Amino acid sequence: MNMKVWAQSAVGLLTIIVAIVCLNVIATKFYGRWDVTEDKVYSLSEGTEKILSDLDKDLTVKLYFSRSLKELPLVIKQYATRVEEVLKEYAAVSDGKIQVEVIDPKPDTDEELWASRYGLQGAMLPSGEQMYFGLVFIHGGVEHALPYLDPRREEFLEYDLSEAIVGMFREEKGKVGILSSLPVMASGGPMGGGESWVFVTDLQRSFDVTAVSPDAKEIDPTLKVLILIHPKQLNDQTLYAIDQYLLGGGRLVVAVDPMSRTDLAMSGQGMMGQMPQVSSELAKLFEAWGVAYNPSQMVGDALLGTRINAGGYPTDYPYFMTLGEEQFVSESVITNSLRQMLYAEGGSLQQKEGSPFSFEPLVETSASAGVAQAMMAPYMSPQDLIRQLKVDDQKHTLAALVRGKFPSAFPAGPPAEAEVTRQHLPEATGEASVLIIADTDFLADNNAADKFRFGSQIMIRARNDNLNFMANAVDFLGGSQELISIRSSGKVARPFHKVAEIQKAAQEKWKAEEEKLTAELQGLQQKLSELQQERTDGNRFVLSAEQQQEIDRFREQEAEVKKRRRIVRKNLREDIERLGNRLLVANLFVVPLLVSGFGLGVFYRRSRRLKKEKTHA
Amino acid sequence: MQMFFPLFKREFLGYFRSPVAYVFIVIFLMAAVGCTFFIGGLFESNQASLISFFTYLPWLYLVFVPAVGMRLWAEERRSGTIELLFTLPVTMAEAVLAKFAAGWLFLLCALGLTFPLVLTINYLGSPDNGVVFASYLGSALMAGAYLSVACFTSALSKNQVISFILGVVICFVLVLLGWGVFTDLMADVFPVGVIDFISSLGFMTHFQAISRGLIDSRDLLYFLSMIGVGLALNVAVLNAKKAS
Repeated sequence: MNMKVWAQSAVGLLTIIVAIVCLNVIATKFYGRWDVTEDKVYSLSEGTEKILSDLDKDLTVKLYFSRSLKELPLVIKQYATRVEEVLKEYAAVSDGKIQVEVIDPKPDTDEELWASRYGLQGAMLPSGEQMYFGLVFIHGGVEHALPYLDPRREEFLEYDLSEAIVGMFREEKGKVGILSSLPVMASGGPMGGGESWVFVTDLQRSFDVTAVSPDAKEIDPTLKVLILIHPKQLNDQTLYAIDQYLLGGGRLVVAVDPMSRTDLAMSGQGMMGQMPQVSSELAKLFEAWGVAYNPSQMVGDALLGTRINAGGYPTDYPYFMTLGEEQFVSESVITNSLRQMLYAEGGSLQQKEGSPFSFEPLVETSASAGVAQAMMAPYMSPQDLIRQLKVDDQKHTLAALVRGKFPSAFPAGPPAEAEVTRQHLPEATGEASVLIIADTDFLADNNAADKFRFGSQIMIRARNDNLNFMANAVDFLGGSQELISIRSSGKVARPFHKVAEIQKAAQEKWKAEEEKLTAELQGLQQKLSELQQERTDGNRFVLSAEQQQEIDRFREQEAEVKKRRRIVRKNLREDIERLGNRLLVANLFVVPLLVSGFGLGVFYRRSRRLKKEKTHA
Repeated sequence: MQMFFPLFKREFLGYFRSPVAYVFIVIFLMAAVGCTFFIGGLFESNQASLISFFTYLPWLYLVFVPAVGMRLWAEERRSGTIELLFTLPVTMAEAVLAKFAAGWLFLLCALGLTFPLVLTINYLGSPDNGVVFASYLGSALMAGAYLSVACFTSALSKNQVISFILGVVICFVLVLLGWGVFTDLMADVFPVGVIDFISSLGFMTHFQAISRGLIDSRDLLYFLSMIGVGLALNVAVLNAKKAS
């Protein structure tokens, strides 16, 4: 009897367990995933979805990952799983066009041979084993490998994958022209001209870059983007050619500059009596686009000044602005992901009053900026130039995107003596777009990147987002907008605003005090070093009693000031600590007290009721 | 299934008639907040997320959930009221489900009372509330999984202490299975495939997966499966004990 019941329940139990296991096995094939994060971190971005839906060719992607190695760091294993998941997403969205294969290239197997044949790099683990973690896209005879997937590049994973796909099927690179008065492109001249600037090499990865002569009579309409760098006194014919190129559907990136150091360096510091003309403008065309720009003024911002070595004294130079995230307009895909730029003695742009066209600022100064005469820059010391800054307490626009159906800058038709082959366009055929930035020095190699030798190679490492700004601008105008939108999606840190607010408020309160004390301290320290100087200059080892006394006195003062400053800094933190404590107490006690109160209430009522029942009994 | 609701209601309200429940909730909340602020350093982290709370929750559950579950069956069996229960027209499955559901709802109430933490991080900054929601969902499911184990161990013994200890041990094993540190240790002994399979049985793996904000039906199914297995075992044990 017992056995039968036992058997029955055992069978019942077993059935249920088997059913559950089967369900789970089935689920590994049929499953759904919902990305509930606000930033949609786990979903593919729209740009990738567009690229994949536009994909009309079959593509195989082979992911090589040495999963079976013993000493694999957990970070890499987790990242490999993530990469696999992302690739499966790609396959799913591509509607079958993309096939994913995951391969574990064990040592001394064919798979390992293939991995290295595809160009994947193995990484040596501390255990001595070779780990492969890379992938290759294959279509027909075309291969594109990502030789090593670095977990530190996780936020760019989607960009790298989508760029690889786009790059594979790009029939021909889009054409981009550069018209520049500065030697940005390598010239194969008789003197063996210089190398291309780094931003040009950067552009050459995705585009076919050609040089356009500064006195060109016509602009090739097949150019996706024309980049004007430091346009100086272009003749009317060239201006007309640019104007017509734009109106006919071309796109422009214009970099003008009230003070180009690069130009200055090239034209020499002026022959006697002649001031070198190192500013550029595009007045005639700017007029037609509703853009106001003063080529004789450069913008400075004390809040954004960069530390330079001006004659031995480190000074915060307001005309070399280190722009941070707050200075980038976040809504634009071009500037969305930028974190830092160096803007060197550039100007500002404004929309002309009454202009009917769209003027979208991309990069701005803080609200404490001002202007100075650019002409003086080559001749004055940095300290003097700082004094020249006239603060106007306004945000200046440093780069902007201007759009609209612009009229021709030559309403009366082509200028005389112009050799024109096409019909004059009095107005843009569609919405024209121009990106203007009022600085050219930001593109200079020494402002944008660090170059260093690595054996026989020259390695370039971007120092800031200057190159990215240019790349984004050209990508955006050149049509690869999908890639830019992917470039912008990354991890978002979520710091405590409240704490930042309190910090700022506290800083305002105590800043003045702290600055005063710090200045005092610096003064004292300078005095001290002067005294020390005297000592080593004059009597080598022997100090007069007075000198020693003075030194002691100053040291005391120094200690005093340091103490006062420590107190001020402590006050800065106090407000934040108080907030932390208050929150801790609230969380720790409020609800538990309420619950206890509720519980006591329930028991009180019950005991009252019981008492009542007792007395009535 | 008619007996389910009355039974469920009786069980659930029964919690609130005992002072133990209130003590339990208060201690649980204080421990959770304490871990979050003191060990997890929520305020110092300057990150508007509840990761410091959810990191410790599985370990808190390890102790608290068996404490809730231990009395569910052990008490009834010891005091004999279980006989009374089965004179009612209720199937074993219904009874098991009703008790489990009551316990689960109680745990969800306790979890819900941690809402001041959510308010706090929303006040301090702007957290990803999608991730917070997903983490709470994962916690709720995980609580259910823990509870089903506790119910099962509760049915195994008349002694509450024994069921508590058994419950903690089994839950501990299940948590350990998915815990990175442990799997790394096992790596030397077992081949990788085995290890991956074993860690997929653990609570942590699936809880962490859901808490990231990517809700995968397989993780949901995992927790529901664990609950199912626990309850099935619960029914089997009770049936076996009943027969003897």
